[in-house]
Amino acid sequence: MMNHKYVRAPYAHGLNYGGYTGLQRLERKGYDHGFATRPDFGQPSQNGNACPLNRNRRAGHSMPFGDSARSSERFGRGSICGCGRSSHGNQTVPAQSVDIPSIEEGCGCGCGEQNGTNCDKLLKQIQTVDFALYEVILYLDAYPDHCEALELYHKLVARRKGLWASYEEACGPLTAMGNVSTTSWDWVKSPAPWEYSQN
Amino acid sequence: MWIYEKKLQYPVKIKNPDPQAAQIIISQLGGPDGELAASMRYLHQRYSMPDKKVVGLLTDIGTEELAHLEIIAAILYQLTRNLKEEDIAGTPFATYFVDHTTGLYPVAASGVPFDMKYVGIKGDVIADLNEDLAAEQKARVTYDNILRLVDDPDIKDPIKFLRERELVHYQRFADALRMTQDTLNAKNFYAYNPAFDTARLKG
Repeated sequence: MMNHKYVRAPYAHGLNYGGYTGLQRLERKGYDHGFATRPDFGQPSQNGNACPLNRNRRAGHSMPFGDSARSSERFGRGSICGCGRSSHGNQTVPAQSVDIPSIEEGCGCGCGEQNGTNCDKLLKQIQTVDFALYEVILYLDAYPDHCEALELYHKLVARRKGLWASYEEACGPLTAMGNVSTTSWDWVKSPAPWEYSQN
Repeated sequence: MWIYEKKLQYPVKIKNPDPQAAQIIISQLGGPDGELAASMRYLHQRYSMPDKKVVGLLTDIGTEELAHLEIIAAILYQLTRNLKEEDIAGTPFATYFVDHTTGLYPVAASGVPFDMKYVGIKGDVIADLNEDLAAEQKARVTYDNILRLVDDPDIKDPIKFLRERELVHYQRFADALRMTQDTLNAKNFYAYNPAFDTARLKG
């Protein structure tokens, strides 16, 4: 008998995509499953900007990857890092002043490190931001003029850029166009994504 | 065109190989409601869609299904590592093994190879979007069935992610269908096929 909750359950392996996707937050106002009426975005904003749909200013966007407290509820595994230490900041990720909450940074204990960068942790952060971005992309495909979604998109793109740059610099290319080394074609040398690894 | 990103959309870390679970899960690789069928369906339907929003949606969801195909392949790869003959002989996996060893060949769990007959592309906006809605639900049911048959939490984790994505895609297509119907004749949605008749009239 299935007793697992799907949409709201935190996931294992440190990737909490949140209680539910950021997309559902955007649509919560009027969306129901399937053949819904058009979502009600309320009255046009009063501040005179050209955005055709209402800019619902809620304090802080919610992001699919959740907050630290929820991230630690994870099938009884404790923190992301295998060594079990508690979180502290990760210096590898460049600081950005955006109002998306930061992804839980992990303990930086050195598991999976390469040149002082925790590649596994960075990859998880990249997978998280790329997933959130893809959700916003699918939403924007149907609502190309939704300014709030587009703003969220740009914040995620900015965050993604920083994480990708850090990763490709230290851990290996993520696309064939991203081979940073001038002496080694790491694109074929780095492990395949389907290989099994402990962390 | 397509760029390949050398990472999985969601991590797959399966500690314990299990060829019998692989025998079941391979249906999501090459079965009638699997990720290969889904990606071929969406990526080919998009060419005859008149609305740019629907083209965009089919392109992006179709691309994501290719990423899911890779996740299923990663699951199957990790389930069939380090096998010994006694893990295989006399089990249902033996009939796959004899022809493919532990290579990945898109088949259904029944052994029927992937077939484009699983994919409906009608060149009509309403028919195609309804096909997509049904496809996402069928994929969801297949994942439900896999979850019933498999116990290992390392396997269940990515499967649950993939199942949730099917539900989200279903909502996206329902949205697209509603938006399409809004632009058609409310008295008769079938008065003309926007994928064919308007193009012909413009001609």
